[in-house]
Amino acid sequence: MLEAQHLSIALGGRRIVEPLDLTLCPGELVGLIGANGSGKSTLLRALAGLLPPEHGEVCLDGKPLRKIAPRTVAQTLAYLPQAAECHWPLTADRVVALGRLPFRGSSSELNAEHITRALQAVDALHLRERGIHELSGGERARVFLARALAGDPALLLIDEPGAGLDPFHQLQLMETLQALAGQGTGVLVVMHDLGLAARFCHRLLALHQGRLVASGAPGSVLTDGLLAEAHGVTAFRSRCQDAPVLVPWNRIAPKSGNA
Amino acid sequence: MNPNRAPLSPLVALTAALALSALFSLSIGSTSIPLRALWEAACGQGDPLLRLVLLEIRLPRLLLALLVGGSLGLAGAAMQGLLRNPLVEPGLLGVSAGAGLGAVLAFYSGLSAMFAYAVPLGGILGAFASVLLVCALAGRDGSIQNLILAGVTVSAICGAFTSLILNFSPNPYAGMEIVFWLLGSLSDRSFDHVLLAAPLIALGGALLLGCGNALRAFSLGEQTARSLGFRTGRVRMQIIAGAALAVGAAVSVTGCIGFVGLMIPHLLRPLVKGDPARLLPVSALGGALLLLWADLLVRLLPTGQELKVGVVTALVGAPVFLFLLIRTRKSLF
Repeated sequence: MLEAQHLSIALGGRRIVEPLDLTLCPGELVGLIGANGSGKSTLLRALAGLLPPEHGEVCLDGKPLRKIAPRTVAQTLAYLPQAAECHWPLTADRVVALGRLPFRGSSSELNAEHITRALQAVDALHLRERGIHELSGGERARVFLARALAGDPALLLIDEPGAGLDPFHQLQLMETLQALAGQGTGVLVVMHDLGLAARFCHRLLALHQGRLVASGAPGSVLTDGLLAEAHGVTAFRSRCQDAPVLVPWNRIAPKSGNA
Repeated sequence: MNPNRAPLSPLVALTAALALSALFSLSIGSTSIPLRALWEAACGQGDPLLRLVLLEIRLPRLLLALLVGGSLGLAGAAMQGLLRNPLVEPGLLGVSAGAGLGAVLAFYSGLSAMFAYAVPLGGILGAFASVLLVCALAGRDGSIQNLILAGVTVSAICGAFTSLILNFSPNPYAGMEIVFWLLGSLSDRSFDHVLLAAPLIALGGALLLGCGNALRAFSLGEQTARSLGFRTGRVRMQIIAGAALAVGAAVSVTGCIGFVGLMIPHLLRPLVKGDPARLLPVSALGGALLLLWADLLVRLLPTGQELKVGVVTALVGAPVFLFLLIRTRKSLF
C-alpha cells in the first residue's frame, strides 16, 4: 500500500502541491485528474520517490520511501512517465526487458516469461522484434506500458498512458488496467479523459491548482461544481450499459483571467 | 532467451580479429619476423637481436595501441550511453584537454628534460585536475547539461593555456616538440609507459564496464532509470571517474588521439542492436583494433617524416562521418 501523509511538494522554491493525504491500496484503479498545470505529474513523481517531499512523507507498506533501498522500491512499484522515450534503437522486447532490471539475477526463463506476458497484456506481442523507433506513437506507448508491467509490480503509477492512443487501444488500455487491479495491483493513473475516468476508475482524486479538491467514487467527484471549478467545463451526462457516460460539453468563460 | 543477454558473436569476431592483427603487427615491420621466430622469442629462445626488437620495441608499442585504443573506445561508448548522445567523444568532459595541458606544462617547464616520465605524469595530473574542476563547476547534483557546459568550459580553458604556452615556447624546436606530441603517437614508447598507463586504464575500464545495466536503464532517461532502482548520481560519478582514469592515462602516454572514442561506438552500435551495455566491451575491442591498424599503417607507410597515429585516425575518421551522413540522408529521403 502506498500512503502519502501531509505531503507537499515544491520545485525551485515554488509550492506545486499543497499538503495532502492519500492512499493507494492493492486492487484499486485510481484516476488522478486535473487541468494542465494542476500538479498531477509532480505529485506522481513524488509518490514514486523521484522527487523529495517539501514536507510530509510517502510510505510504502508503512515504511518511509526514502528509507527503503531504491532497488527494493523498484521491485514493488513501477513508474511510467508522460511521453516515455528510448534513446537507442532497441527492439520492443529489449525495451520491455529493461523493466526486469530491478530483478537482474533472476533466471532468463523467468524474465522471458514476464516479458512475453507483459507484451501480451498490451496486445503488442507481434511487435516484439520491431525497432522501437519504427513503431507508431500508439504502438510505442503500449510497449512502454509493457515495460512498466514486466516487473509484475504491486503498485503501478502511470502518467497519461492514453495520450496518442486510438479509441480502440484507449479502451483496451483501460481494460488492461482494470484487469491488473482485478489481479491485486494498485494502479494510479493520471488521465485527462473524464469519460474513461468516470467509467473505469474505482476512485478519483481531483487536483486543482496543487490542492486535492475531491476524492472518492467517480460519481461523487465529477460533480458539475468540480468540473466548472477545476476544468472550466460543463458536461453532457447519460448512462449506457449501466455505466456513467460523461462528455465535456461547453467551455465556461474563465473568471478574471484565471484559467 | 533473455533479451538482455549478449550473444557472443561480435565479441568473438572482434577478439579473433584482434588476436590475428596483433600477431601480424608483431611479425611485420622493417625486419619481418616469421611466426616461428615469434614463438621462439616468446619461449626465450632464438636470435637475441630479434628478441630485443620484439620485446623492447614492438611488444610495448602493440600493448599501448591495445590499451589506448581500448580505453578510448570503451570510454566513448560509456560517455555516449551516459549522455544518451551518439556524437559525444570521451574528451567532452575536459579530460583530453586537461591531460594535454598537463603534458605540455611538463615540456615547457623543462621537467621533461630532467625526468623521462614527467610528460605522462603531467598528463595524468592534468586529466585529474580538469575532471575535478568540471565536477566542481557542475555542482554536486549537476545535471547532464551542467556537466557538458562545465566540460566545454574546462576544455576551452585548457586549450587556451596550451595555445599560450605554444605561443611563448622558448624556441621553434620546443614548440614543434609540443605540437608533435599533441598529434598523438605510439612510437618510441617503452614498457615503462605501458606499466604507467596499464593500472590506471585497468581501474578506469573496470569502473566503466561495471555500469552496463545502469546504462541500459539510462536509455529510458534518467528519471526512469531512477525508478528502476539505479542511483543515477552515483552511476554518473562512476562513469566520469572511469573515463577520466582511462582516457587521462591514455592521452598521457600517447598524446591526443581523436575520433577513436567518437567513431568506434557509433560504428559498432548496430552490431549490438543499440544495447548500450553490450556496446562497452565491443567498443573496447573495436577501439583497440582500429588503433592497432592505424599504427600499423604509420609503421608501414614509407613517409619521410614520421606520420603521427593521431593524424591517421583523423584522416580515417572524417570520411567515415561523411559516409554516415550520406547514409542518414539517403534513409531520410
